[in-house]
Amino acid sequence: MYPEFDLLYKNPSKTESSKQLEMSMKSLLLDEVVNGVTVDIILQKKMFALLSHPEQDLENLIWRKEILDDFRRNASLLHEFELIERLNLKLEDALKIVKTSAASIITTTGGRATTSDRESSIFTVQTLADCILKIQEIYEQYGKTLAKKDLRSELMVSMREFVKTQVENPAFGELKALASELAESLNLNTSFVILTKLDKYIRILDCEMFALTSDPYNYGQGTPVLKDKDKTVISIGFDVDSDQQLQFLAERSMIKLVSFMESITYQLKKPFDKIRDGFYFYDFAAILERTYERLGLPMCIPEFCTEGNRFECKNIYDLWFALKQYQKNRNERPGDVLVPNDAIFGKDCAAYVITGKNNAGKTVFLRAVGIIQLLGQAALPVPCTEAVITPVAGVYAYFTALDIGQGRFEEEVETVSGFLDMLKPNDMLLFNEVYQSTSFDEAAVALSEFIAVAALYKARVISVTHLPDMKKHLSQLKEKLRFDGDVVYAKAEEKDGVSTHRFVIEK
Amino acid sequence: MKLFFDPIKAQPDVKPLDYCVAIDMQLEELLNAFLSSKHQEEATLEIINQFCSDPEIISYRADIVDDMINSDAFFSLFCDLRADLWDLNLLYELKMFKNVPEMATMKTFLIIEKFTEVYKKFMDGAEAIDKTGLSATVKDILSQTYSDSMKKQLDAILKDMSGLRESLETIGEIRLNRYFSRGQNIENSIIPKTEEPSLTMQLAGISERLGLDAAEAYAPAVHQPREFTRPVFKALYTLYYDIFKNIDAFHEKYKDVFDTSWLDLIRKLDAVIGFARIFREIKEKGFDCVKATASDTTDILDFYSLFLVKRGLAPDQVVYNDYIYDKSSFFFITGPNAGGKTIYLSAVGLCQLFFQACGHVPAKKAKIKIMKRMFTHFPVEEYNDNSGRLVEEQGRVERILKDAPDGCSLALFNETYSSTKADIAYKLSTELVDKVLEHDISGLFVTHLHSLKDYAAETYERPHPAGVLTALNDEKTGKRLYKIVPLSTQNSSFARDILLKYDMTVEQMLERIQKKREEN
Repeated sequence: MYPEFDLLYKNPSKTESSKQLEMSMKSLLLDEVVNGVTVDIILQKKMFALLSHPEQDLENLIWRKEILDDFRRNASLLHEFELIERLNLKLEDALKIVKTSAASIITTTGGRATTSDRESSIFTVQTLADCILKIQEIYEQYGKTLAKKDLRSELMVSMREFVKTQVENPAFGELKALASELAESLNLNTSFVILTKLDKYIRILDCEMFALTSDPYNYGQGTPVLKDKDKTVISIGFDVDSDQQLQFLAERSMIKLVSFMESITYQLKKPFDKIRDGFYFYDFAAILERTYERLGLPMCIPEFCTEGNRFECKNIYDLWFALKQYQKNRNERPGDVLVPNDAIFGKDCAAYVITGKNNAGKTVFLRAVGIIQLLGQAALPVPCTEAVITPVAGVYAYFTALDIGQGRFEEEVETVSGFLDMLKPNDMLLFNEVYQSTSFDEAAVALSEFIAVAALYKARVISVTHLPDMKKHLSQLKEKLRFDGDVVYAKAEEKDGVSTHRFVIEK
Repeated sequence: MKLFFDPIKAQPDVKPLDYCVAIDMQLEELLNAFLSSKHQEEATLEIINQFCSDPEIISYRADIVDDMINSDAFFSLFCDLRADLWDLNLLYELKMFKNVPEMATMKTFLIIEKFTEVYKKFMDGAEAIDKTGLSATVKDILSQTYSDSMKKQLDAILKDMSGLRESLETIGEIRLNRYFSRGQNIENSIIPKTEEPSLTMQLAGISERLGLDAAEAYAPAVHQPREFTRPVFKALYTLYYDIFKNIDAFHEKYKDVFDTSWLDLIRKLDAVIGFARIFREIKEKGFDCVKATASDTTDILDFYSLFLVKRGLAPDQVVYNDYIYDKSSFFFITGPNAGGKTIYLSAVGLCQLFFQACGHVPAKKAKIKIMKRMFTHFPVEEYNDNSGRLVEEQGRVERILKDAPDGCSLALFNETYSSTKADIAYKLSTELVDKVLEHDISGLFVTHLHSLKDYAAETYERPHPAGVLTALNDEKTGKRLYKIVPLSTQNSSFARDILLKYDMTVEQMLERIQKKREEN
C-alpha cells in the first residue's frame, strides 16, 4: 500500500466542534486575527477551522514544526510545491471528465455500435492514459524538486525516498510507455480484441480487453500480429444478436479496463492528495511571519511540554490588538509602542487571577494568552520572545463584555456549566469578568467555586475579575477541596496613578 | 434412471384443508418464522394443506422426519441431495439450450455429467451413513440407492464420459475479434486463445511491480454467466469440431437416459426438510416434540403453542397443557381475558395439522385421532359491505356444518357469535353446538358466554356430550396462570370469574385504593 503524505498530520484524527469552542473563538476574535493576517478568503476559512480545534497530539505538532523548518531552510520549496500542485489540478480536471464519459459507456444500449459510443469509450481510455502520464510527471517533478533540497523533516525525507524509488523502478518506465501508446494511438478505427473466459457449461464467465489497436492487420513491424495466419479464424458474421453480444463484451471489457486504469491513477496520486490540504498552512505560516515583521513584533516557535501544565511565555503581545493599532496608524510599528508582558503559568499554577483598574490591558493580556496558545498549538510562530506551552484539549474563552445584552447571571451560569461539560485536564479557560451581572458577594463565591473545581480537575482558569475577596474564597476552597498547586494573583501595575500596562505578581 | 424413493408419498384424492384454516392458524407466518427458505415454506404449507388422512402415509412420513430430526448425518444427506438437485434443475432449465438448438447435444452431456455426480455423491453418502437407530423405512430407502444394478449403470456412464470433460476444459478461453476500418465494423471472428498477455494483464503486471493493488484487473467484467448467441456458438463449434463431435456421439447414446422426475424430488425434499428443520429447532431450544401415534381418540399431553417458541420464550417460561378426549371430544373453553384460551385453541389446531402432515407434534406425548376435515372460525373485522360480522359468522358456520363429515372432523371456534347481543349469541351458539354434537364433530369453542357452561351440563346424557375447560387464575392475586383445565360442571363457580374479569375481587379492590391514595 502506498503511503499518504500529509503536510499537517502524522497521526490524523477527527475533530469535533462544539458550541463552547465556537463561542470561545468569537471571544478571542480569532476570525479577525486570521483575516488581519491574510486577505485570501479560502485561506482565512481553512486557517480559522484549523486554529479553532487545538492540536493535542505532540507528534503532529513536531511534524509541522519540522516541515516548517524545511520550508524556511529552502526558500523556493514552497513555490515549487505550488507549481506541482497546478499539475495536480489539471489531473483532477481530467479525472472529472473521465467520470462523465465512463458513465456513458455503461449506459450504452444494444444495437450496432454507433460512432459516438465507440468514440466515447476510446476517448475515456485515452484520457485515462493521459491521466496516468500526468501523475507520473508529478512524481518526476517531486523527484527533481526534493532531490536538490536540504531536507530534514520526517515527511520530506520519506517523500523524497518514496518518489525516488518509484521513478527508478523499471515498471515506472514501462507504464509510461504503455500509457503513451494508449494515449496516442487510439482513434475512430480502433478495433477490439477480447479475451473471453468460459465456464464448464461453455458460457461466458468473464472477459477482458486483450488489445486495442487501430491496425489489427499489422505485420512485421515489431508489434504483435493480431490476425494470426497460423491459427484458425472462424467468422461469426454480422447478424444482430451476435453483433449485440460482441458489442456487449467489448463494452464490458472496456468498463473493466477503464475501471482498472482509474484505479491505477487514483492509487498513484493518493500519496499526494493530502499535500494540497496542508499546503495552505505553510502558506499562512509564511504570511504570519511576514506580518510579525511588519508589525515589529517578536516571534518564536514554541517549545512543547507534556510534563505538567505549562504556559510560560515572555514578552507576549496581543496580535489582534497589534493589527488594530497598525490599521489605525501605518507609520507606527505596534511592536515599538505596545507594552509586552510575561505570562508565566508553571505546572504549580492551579489558577491565575488578574485584578486591576479598567483599561490596564487585562483583556489584551488575556486575549494574547489565548491567541498564543491557539497559534502555538498549531505549530505556528507566536508573538513573543520565548514560549513553552503544553498542548491542551480545549481553549475556552468567555469574555462576557462581548455578550449581547451584557449577559444575565442565568445565561452565564448556563454557559459556564457548558464548559464544565466539555472540560478536560490541562484545558485553558480564559474568563473575562464573568459573573459580574449579579451581586458581587454571591458572584465571588460562585466564581471561586468554579475555579476551585476546575483546579481540582487540573484545568486552569485564568480569570480577569473585579470581584472582591477572591483570595479569601479560593484559599478556603483550597483547604476544603485540596487541589494541587496554588492560585497565582497578578495585578495591573500603576505608576503615579497611571497604568503601565504591565502585570505584577502579588505575593 | 428411475426414481427409487419418494420421501413424501402421494396420497389418494381427498379434499384439501378449508382455506380459512391456514389463515386462522397463521400458518404462513409460523412457517416463515421457522424456515429461512421460501421453497421449504411453500412445500411444507402445501403438505399441511393437503391434510392427509391416510395413516400409512402419515406413518411413512413420520419415520423419515423422525430420522431426520434425530440423525444429523441423515439430515445432512438429504439437505445435500436437495441442494445438488436444485443445481441440476437450474442447469436443466438454462435458456441457452432453448435459444441455441445446436447446444442440445451439450445439454445431454452436461445433464448426465451433473446427474452422475449428484447420484454418486448421494450413493456414497447413503452407503457410508451409520444406520443404527434409523427406521426400517429409511433403511429401505437408502439400501435401494446403492444396489448393485445402480452401481453398474453408473459405472457404464462414467466410462463413456471419461475424457469428454478434459477436452471441454481445453476451450477455457477464446479470443473474439471485432475489427473496424473507417468507422465501420469489418470483421467479427473467433480464434483460439493465444499465449501473449492481454492488455489488462500487462497493466496488472506493471501495477503489481509498482506496488499497486491490481484487484480491479481480476474483478469479473460479467457478473452472471451468459450464453453465446447461436452464430457465435456455431462458430465455436466449428473451431472446436473435434471436441464437439464426441459430445454429439455421447448425446446419441444417452439422450433418453435422464428421468426428469428426479427434479420433482426437489419439492418433496423441501417439505420433508422443512418439517425436520422445525422440529430440530424446537428440540435444540429444549422443547419436547414427539412422533404421535394414530388412535381412535386424542390425548395430547404437555403440548404448547409453536407461536410461543416463535416469540422467543424459553421452555421454563411456557405453560404446558393437555388436551384429552374422555366422554367428550368437543369442549367449551371459558375464562378471563388473556388467560391463554386462544393460544390453547390454536395449539390444538397446530398439533392436528402437523400430525397429519408429518406425524410429529410439539408435545411430550401424543396419540391423535386422524380427521378427514378440519375447520376453524376465528373472529374477523366487520366487512364494509354492510353484511356485518354476524352474517359472515353464520355463513361460515353453515358451511362448516355442511362440509364436516360425521365422526372425523375437527372444528375450532374462537368467540364465534361474540359480535352480537348475549341472548342471540347464546341461542345461536347452542344451536351450533347441538349440530356439532349430533354429528360427532370434535373440537373446541372459546366463549365468554358463561351460561354455556350450564348448557354443557345439560348435554351430559347425550351420546356425544360437550365438555368444559377453563383458564385458571391465581385465587389470591388474580394473576393469569395460562393453565387450561377441565371444569367440573357441577362444581363450577361462575361468579368469581366475572369478578376477576372486572377487577372486583377484594384483593384487587384493595390494590386499587392504595394506588388512589398514592396518586393523591
